[in-house]
Amino acid sequence: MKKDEVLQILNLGKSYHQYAGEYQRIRHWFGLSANYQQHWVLKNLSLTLKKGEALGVVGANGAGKSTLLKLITGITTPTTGKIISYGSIAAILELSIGFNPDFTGLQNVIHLLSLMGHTKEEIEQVIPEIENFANIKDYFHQPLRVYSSGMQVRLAFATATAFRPDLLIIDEALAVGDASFQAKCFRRINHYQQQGTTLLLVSHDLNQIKKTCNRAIVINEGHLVFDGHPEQACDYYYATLADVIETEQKTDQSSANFSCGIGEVEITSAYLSVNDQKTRQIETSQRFSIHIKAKANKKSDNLCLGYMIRDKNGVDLFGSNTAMQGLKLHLKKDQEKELRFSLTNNLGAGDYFLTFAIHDEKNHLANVQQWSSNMLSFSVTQKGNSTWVGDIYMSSPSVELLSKGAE
Amino acid sequence: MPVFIVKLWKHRYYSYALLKNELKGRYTRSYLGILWLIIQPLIQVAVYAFIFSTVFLARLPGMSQTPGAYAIYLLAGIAAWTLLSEIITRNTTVFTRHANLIKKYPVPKISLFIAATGEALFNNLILLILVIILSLILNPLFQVSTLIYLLPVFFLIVLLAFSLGVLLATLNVFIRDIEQAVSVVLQLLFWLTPIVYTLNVLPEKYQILIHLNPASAFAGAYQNIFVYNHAPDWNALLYPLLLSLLIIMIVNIIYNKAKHELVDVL
Repeated sequence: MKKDEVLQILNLGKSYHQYAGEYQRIRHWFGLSANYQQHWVLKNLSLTLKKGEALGVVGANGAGKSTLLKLITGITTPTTGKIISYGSIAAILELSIGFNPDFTGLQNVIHLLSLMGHTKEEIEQVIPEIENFANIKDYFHQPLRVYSSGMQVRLAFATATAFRPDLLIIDEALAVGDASFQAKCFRRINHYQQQGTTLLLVSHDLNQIKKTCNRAIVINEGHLVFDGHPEQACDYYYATLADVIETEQKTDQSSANFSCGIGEVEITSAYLSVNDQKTRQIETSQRFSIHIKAKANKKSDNLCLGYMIRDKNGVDLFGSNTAMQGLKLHLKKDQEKELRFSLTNNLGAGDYFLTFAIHDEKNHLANVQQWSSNMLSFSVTQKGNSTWVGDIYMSSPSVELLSKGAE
Repeated sequence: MPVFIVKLWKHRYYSYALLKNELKGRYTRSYLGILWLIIQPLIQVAVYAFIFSTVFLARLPGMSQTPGAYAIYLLAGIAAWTLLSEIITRNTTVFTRHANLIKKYPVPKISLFIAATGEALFNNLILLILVIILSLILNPLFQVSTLIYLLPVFFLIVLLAFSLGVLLATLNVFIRDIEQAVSVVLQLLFWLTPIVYTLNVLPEKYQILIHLNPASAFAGAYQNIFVYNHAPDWNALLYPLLLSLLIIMIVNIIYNKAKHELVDVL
């Protein structure tokens, strides 16, 4: 290994064995033939982390991110491969620092620090600093069970980062803290990074990953599928998500993503593109297109096909359809047509959803052929140092000084 | 085994902190706190002493001139028994009790066992001091110098209980019936140990059962020391020693196989 490496992962694999019964498990331990199924959660993962790097980890739920973190921190043992770490590891994997809810915050902190291998003298030295950083006032000396989840995270972060670790692992947890505490945490993380700490950040907040990390990996179904620049990693992640959405769409019956209609005409596929490239990420003020394919099982005339863009809360933001834009749509039996709506994106950073509908030209409640809520999702990013904040982009903001009289 | 020793030393401070917390945790929000440790065995002995010496008119053979002899006999047996049974019980549930901790942090497992055992030892030490004081008061035969024999017996009890506890804790992760079964089996074994009765009151054909129970040798050794001021029957203690060594070998195999699946199943 080279001098500047903190973590080396070689061909890491983790599988869970599902036995037909506990007797079969014990047979397996002793090398006898046993009846069991093996589920691989992680496979053939190799990764090397250097000093001072900030690695983002993205992947869908159940992709294996948490398993990877548990393996790195030594909570579980790998089935295949090796993890070699050089230096200390601090991890904030879950919200609660919870050891004993009846003990005070202080007692829990002492317990946790001794678990991390610190001596009594070292612990006594950092307690005031932890109390100060967590800033939970009197609660520090009260039982953990009266804490709010935000307070627990404050205490957990303050404790885990009381000593500068060589590798700091953060799994989502910070999302619970309020904005000012988050900012404080990232200041401390930045400070440690300059001193050589490596950061491993798992988050579903892609903007956070792009802002904080200088490298990112994508994990999909237990495999490391991408390793590189955070921006490209996020694009890659969205591409893998697209497949998931396409398969999920057929089975998901939840109200957030439902589909109904007569079904004589169907939307067979839909995707977004920028510059003729399929994508799920659009930048503000970028021109993009919505592609929709519709197929008729029966001859249908005077159809209207439309879309609606909604935000995370389901609020309608923008919509249009073929009738509004003066396009006549007729379909013969078994005919499939593709439509392209093009528009300029004036939305701010965030996640958005697209709903599609095909219905009668004049009245959108008559002959609803298909109504698919939230069929597609996409995210909007703001590039570089932005001159504005908010959800909607008002084009070309500018400012000038008018009164010169005061000088 | 050497790995075990290395880990033990490496995590000594954490083991100590954990033990301190377990003891503290057991008595926070209770007024009598540590007094409960003495109250519980005292009541137990008082009840047995009353029922057996007053109701069943039990007397210790050859000790009829010492009125407190039966109480000491009882106390000595109970001291040996609680040491054994408490270490086993506390250790059996180590993984299930600390599941939240184990799933969240890379906890050194050895420290969990050390803390559970330490807690049982601490409780037993208080009971032992009580037995010594009462023996000095009630039993004119008893001399403090005989206590030197207690050390190896004490060690043997801890060795057997600890190794058995680790084995049961490991299996209990996968088969939760174990922790229920342990309390039932211990209940049975208590009555299969000459604690409230003496070996010679039993019919000959049942005595083999008593000898198969390793706890009998421990109770006998304690009773020899506290009641008769004798050295223990070392030959009788050979059986529990060999049993402990066998269990340690089994634990070594089972734990090393199970440790890869342990946290996943918790």
